[in-house]
Amino acid sequence: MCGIFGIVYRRPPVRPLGEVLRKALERLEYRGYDSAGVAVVTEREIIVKKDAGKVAEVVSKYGFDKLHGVCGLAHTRWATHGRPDKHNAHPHVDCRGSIAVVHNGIIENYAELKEELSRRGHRFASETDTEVVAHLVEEYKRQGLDTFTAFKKAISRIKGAYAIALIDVETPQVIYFARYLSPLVIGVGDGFNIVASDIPTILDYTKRVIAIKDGEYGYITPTGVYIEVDGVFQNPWDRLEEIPWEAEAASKGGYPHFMLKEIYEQPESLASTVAGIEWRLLENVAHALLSARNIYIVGAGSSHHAGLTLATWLPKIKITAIPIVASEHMLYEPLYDREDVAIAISQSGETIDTIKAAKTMRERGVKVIAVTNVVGSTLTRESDLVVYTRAGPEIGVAATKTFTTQVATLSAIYIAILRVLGYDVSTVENELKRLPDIVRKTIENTAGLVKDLSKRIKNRHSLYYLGRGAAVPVALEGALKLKEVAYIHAEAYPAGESKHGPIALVEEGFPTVFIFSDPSTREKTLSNVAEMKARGAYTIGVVPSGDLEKKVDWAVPMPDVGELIAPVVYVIPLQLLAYFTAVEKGLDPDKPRNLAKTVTVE
Amino acid sequence: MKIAPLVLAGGKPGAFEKITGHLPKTYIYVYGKRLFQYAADTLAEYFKKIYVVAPVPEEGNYIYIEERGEGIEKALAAADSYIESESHVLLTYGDVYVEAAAYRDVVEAVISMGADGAVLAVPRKFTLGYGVVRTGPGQTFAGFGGEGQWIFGGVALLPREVIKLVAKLSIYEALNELARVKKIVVVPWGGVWHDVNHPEDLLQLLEHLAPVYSKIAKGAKISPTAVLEGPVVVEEGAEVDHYAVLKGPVYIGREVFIGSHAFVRNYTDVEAETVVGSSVEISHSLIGREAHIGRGSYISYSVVGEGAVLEPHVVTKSVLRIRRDRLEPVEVRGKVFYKLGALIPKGARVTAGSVLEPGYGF
Repeated sequence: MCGIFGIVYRRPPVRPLGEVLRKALERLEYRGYDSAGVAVVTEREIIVKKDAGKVAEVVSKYGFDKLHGVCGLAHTRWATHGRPDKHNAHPHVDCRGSIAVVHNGIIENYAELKEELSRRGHRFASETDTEVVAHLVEEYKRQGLDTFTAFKKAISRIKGAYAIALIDVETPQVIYFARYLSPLVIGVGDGFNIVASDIPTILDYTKRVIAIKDGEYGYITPTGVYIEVDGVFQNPWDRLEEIPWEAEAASKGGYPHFMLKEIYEQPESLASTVAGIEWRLLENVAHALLSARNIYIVGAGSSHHAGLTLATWLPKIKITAIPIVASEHMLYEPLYDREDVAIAISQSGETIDTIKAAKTMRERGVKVIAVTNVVGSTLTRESDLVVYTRAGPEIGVAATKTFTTQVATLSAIYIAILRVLGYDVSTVENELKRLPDIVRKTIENTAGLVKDLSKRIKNRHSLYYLGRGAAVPVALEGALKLKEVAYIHAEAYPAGESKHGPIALVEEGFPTVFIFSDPSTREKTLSNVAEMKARGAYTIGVVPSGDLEKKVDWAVPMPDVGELIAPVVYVIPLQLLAYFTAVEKGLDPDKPRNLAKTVTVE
Repeated sequence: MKIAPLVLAGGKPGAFEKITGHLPKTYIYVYGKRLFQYAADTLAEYFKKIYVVAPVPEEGNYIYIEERGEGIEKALAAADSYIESESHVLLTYGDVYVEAAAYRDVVEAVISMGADGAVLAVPRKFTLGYGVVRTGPGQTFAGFGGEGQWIFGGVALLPREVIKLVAKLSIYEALNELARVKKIVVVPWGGVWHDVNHPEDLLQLLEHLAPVYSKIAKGAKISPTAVLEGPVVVEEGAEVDHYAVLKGPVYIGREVFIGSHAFVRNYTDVEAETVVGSSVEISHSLIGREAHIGRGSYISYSVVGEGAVLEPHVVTKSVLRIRRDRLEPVEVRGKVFYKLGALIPKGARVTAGSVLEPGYGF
């Protein structure tokens, strides 16, 4: 995911173009925040300013606000091909610097195109897939085509998902665009036109928008819009729509909240995680873990819970791992040694506690394997090996898709260890491949039940989330979600601990959520259900569908899944429960009080 | 894209026959407005022209389309000739109440995803009688049917050709057909959403639509000893007699009379020209127009039809079930109730001193 913005004016705008582009970058920052850049067309050249870092950092470094021009592009990047650095940041230019392009999506056949263009003498400055578009257009222009024809021909060559905007110094008041699967919308202004990845960015300037459909391409000028599909002209004015609300009221591309969007798109994120698994890399990881004296699994918050799932699997194959809450790692410092290996988990790769732990470990010779979602983040620089989770950017403060993709990635590491040890892994591998579909079904089949449940618990002050064995991390994660977004106290602990204290709190109607994701502990967990029921607790069970449903007061039946993917599947209704409860209480789940997405202070 | 917002306010009264007679259920008054007007007025914030398909024209600044025959299919067919240059219809069920953001999400989903249409999906445990929405990869709508707990939320932005399709097929079949050839996306909605299928559904709606601010009309007569604790809305010509207590949120319609010592509690909606006798206590109830509530009656969690007469000292019992000193929820047609009073049909007469059992008439 990346953010695209392009604007073209008839005459220089009242505000400097740079300021307009900066504002667009700020709006689009949620779509990608590892690099940002702009390109403006002046009378005889294209000026490109770009770098890695947050929008504010890049803007202050290059003083965007002072840029002038009549046409400009802006881009916020979420790295897929190539680490986030100055070279890989968009916009990308051709060999002569006269064509600039920004892109959102993935060009699948970029490697072959790049090779073909290199053979023809094109020099590439970045590792990105995007750069081939600029060179392709340059190449076709060299063959005597005009820019639009060259652009069309270039688009016909690329495969994959894309939203592209391109400018050429020879046609300074034109922005060429194309879309396939990635979002792109046209904004129609008075004396200017816009292309952008989302509607809110456009609403700052105009309320008239035109939707672009998959496979369409064309160009905008200050006063015109041209759209074509397969060489056939499409009348854009038929589609002109006036948005009657302000940018602030606009939605998140058809979702009321990012949190729901991110829960709902987990099948897609998991599919990209599973598709992106590099088994050779994971086998290296497996070898490192198998030869380690001590294994530490370090993380904070949801990342810690993800790490705990791996820690519950490993003893089955006679491996011990020490799960460490990142901020508490000093406790284990005396153990650190050069024969040890640590898995450091952080969604952003910027979590200060995890980075500090990783740094200390490395200083003491521990080999650090990073599991992160952000390409080129600080943690990746503090590690020996990096495994990416490929969840795409997450905006909701409460981790949802990044947690499930972390667990899926860790289960892939576990499978790699099994492989190296010579186990038959075909069953678990197949299960991992089916995971996206199972998650989609789970979202479909539990939402109604969970919505009703949220109405029952919304006025409660406290809940317990209980499980045994491998279900404990799921319980912890479920409780954390509810605390984060619904502001209801929720405590998770291994169910067997009840009688050692916590059960004293239980009174008539006290809601207790039981997680049955671990098949080996189901019988024992049932006796904990009975123990709670006897004290009048209202028992809620996330249970495998079947007989167990009758043992609790409120059952959320789950599909029959193996232990490796169970944590991912069983956490889905708990995410939905937290979301629906927050919405029932009238809270904004995207902006929980007192919380920041990434914790960069100790 | 030009959008014609189309509110479907017609249809058979169904379970509402007791309350609305031959009129569709969307014609019931809730807090002084017909039910369908809530959807129409929300849409009117964003669109200039609102089309309403209904059997009888009503007040309101809408374009009324006369319903010919029954069912959504007929309603859409009737709309075809009225809708002018619009390329899309924003279909809205008149018996569904949803926040404005849901309409925005649907429109934005179509534009930003480059889709041809979008359907709103809401989570629901009991899906019987609803269209279960199936979602394919990339948030696409894969048709109705099968298992699942996301149902059609009664709001959809669709290309106009859907009207031609429903001339031959049912609305669900038409959408399935459309999903095969067009890109329709699913917009999930987890916020406030109410559909009114049965009269008991009105009780939950009363909580959601309750007035937030107080407004006392200039021509209303409030006795100096009456107590009004906001939010309380009192319409023109209403009279609140001595020592009456109105504990908001409460709505008192046009020309209503509230007798002395009456106690009108929260989430009570007393529609126009109704008489509430002295020492009556009402809470969480909808009292239809021109009804009479006899002195000393106790009405809670109830729906009273238009023109009904409750003689003095009628009591509605509303506690459904108690277990260990706590109210236990009871499911009524898939919805959870802790309390449910009585449903008094339109024009009915209830004898003095009657005690109505919980859930009577629902």
